[in-house]
Amino acid sequence: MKRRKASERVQGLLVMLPWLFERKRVRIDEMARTFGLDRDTLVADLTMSTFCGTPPYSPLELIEIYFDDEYVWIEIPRIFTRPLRLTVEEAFTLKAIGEAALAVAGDSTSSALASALAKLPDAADDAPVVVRQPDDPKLAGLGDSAASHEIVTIEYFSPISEKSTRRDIVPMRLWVDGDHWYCDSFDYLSGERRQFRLDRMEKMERTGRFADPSGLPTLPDEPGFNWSADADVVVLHLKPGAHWVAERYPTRGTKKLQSGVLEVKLHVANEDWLGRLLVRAGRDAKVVAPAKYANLAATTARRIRARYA
Amino acid sequence: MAAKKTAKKTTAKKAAAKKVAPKKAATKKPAAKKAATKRVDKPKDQAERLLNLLAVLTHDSNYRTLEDIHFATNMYHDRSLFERDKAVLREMGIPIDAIVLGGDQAGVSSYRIDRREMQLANINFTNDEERALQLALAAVHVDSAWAERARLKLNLAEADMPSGPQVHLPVNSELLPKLAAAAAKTVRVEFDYAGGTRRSLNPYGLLSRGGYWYVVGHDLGRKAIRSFRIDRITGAVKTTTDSFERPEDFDIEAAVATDAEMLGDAHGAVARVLVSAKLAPSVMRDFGEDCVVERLDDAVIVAVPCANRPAFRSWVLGLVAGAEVLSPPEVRRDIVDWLDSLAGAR
Repeated sequence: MKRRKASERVQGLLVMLPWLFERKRVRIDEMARTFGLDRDTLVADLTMSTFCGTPPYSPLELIEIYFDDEYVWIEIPRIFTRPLRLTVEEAFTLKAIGEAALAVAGDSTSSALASALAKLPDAADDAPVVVRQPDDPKLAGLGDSAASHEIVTIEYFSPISEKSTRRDIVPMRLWVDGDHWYCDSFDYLSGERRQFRLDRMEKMERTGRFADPSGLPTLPDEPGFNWSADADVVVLHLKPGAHWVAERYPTRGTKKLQSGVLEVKLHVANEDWLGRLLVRAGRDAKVVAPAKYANLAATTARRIRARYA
Repeated sequence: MAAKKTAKKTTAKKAAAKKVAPKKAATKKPAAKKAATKRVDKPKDQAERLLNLLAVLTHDSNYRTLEDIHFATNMYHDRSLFERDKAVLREMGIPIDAIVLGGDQAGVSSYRIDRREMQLANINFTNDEERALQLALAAVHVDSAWAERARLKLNLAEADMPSGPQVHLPVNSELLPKLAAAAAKTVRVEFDYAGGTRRSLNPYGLLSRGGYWYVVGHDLGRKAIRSFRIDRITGAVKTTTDSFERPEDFDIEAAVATDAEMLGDAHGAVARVLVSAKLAPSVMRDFGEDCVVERLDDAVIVAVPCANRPAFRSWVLGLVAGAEVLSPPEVRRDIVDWLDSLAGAR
């Protein structure tokens, strides 16, 4: 059992007890999963709470929780029946989520969402929290296709090779991260799951043909960049002038070395991507490993330099 | 959920129920166990103590002295233990009221917790509102446990994976809620910013754009509206009690320069850049259609601000071999020098 701070256990219980009162009887496994605890930890914490009550501590004033092998239940609500108020962190997170969701929600859900948000505590404060997301005219069409597993034909542009490819894809999930919209898709050209940036789709045509959903790959629960297991990881040393690299791209870890040099590990989408990054970072970035990328900045620079002959 | 067969429940309880209470000595007869739980003398575990302290202080609206609390709970022979527990509860955000008594107990502190202050107020969501919140929580991914905690407190079920668009919006810095709270209360804050400068700011609001969060407000040192990237604030944010008024016409989006705007400055130096036709649409998205000054067969010439040289260089090199700076000569020279120094580097 992982050692946790007392305040963490108590805060957890103050969320768990009202939740359990609300349901009266639940499967222990389900409750453990809901609260991200292992079964033993959950049972230990709930058991601890049964030592708790109010004066004069007769059995009538103690929290009563029962277990059998499968279920946990609570009979008479006594204390801690209401959850704690939202912390400033929780309230802010809800507000930010609400703002982000309003920007992508359809009209029908956005009015319900807006009125739900208005009912949250402190909703009246009028300091702006604005979540700005990029817009893309292809969003609605791709969303419809994703919902119906419709095959769409796209012309997809790679800024690095400066070439477009025409491909049939089944859009599966649209998501936005920072400046760009992405579409998790099944790609018939490569025969595998691929991610496409919406602003690089030069053309998008709906075909009216539909894929069998059972043949589509499964997506991870949360959207994110999918690095294949064999994707390269590059280790870079960044002087302060190139620290933006560590801020801009998801890293696999950063370490501050002496004299302000930052060591970062980055996933490499492909060699061209890394070359472009290195030429922008200039001499403030140095490839430490793997050796095959040691000359990449120089070769990319020569390729661009050829235009200035 | 509430509908349960009473008969079945009773049977289950008689057969298997364990009121799990006293340590390993748990017997299988419920009655015996209830009796055992009466023992509340000096629990050793801090979590257990905190929970009991909370229970006493929220029991009714009466104030209690440490002596009262110890009399009821038998937990605090040692005052320092009580002080420590009280501090932990306050750190958890639980509001403990304290008063100092007069009369024959003059000078003695007395405590209580107002349950209404501590608990979440009842919120009656309509079905549609509840559903909309569930969907929002499922569609927006924040990289912190705060959303999940809030969902459980609000007693919202977890929605299935949404079919609509999803958002990755990191909300995982404690500075964000802190600055938002200061903006809501309209009080000045202070913090150290990248480069080691101490800033004093009247925070007007927060903006998330392009993968970064910004706090925007009136910078008292610079006497101007400034925006600060949250991830570049070093150390803690100090919230003061100095209040301010937010201008009514404040437009937070206009106050934060976009990437494209960052390339220029008020004096407006402009570079002419030859961009291959393939890349032209993305350049036009960043700088507007008006940036195109000439259309060639397989390329366009665009006019782009270049006063901020490092930002301009990073932008134009991001187009790799798809772009060439034509003028002004010193800007073209700068790019060539940059490339030469890299091309020669090992």
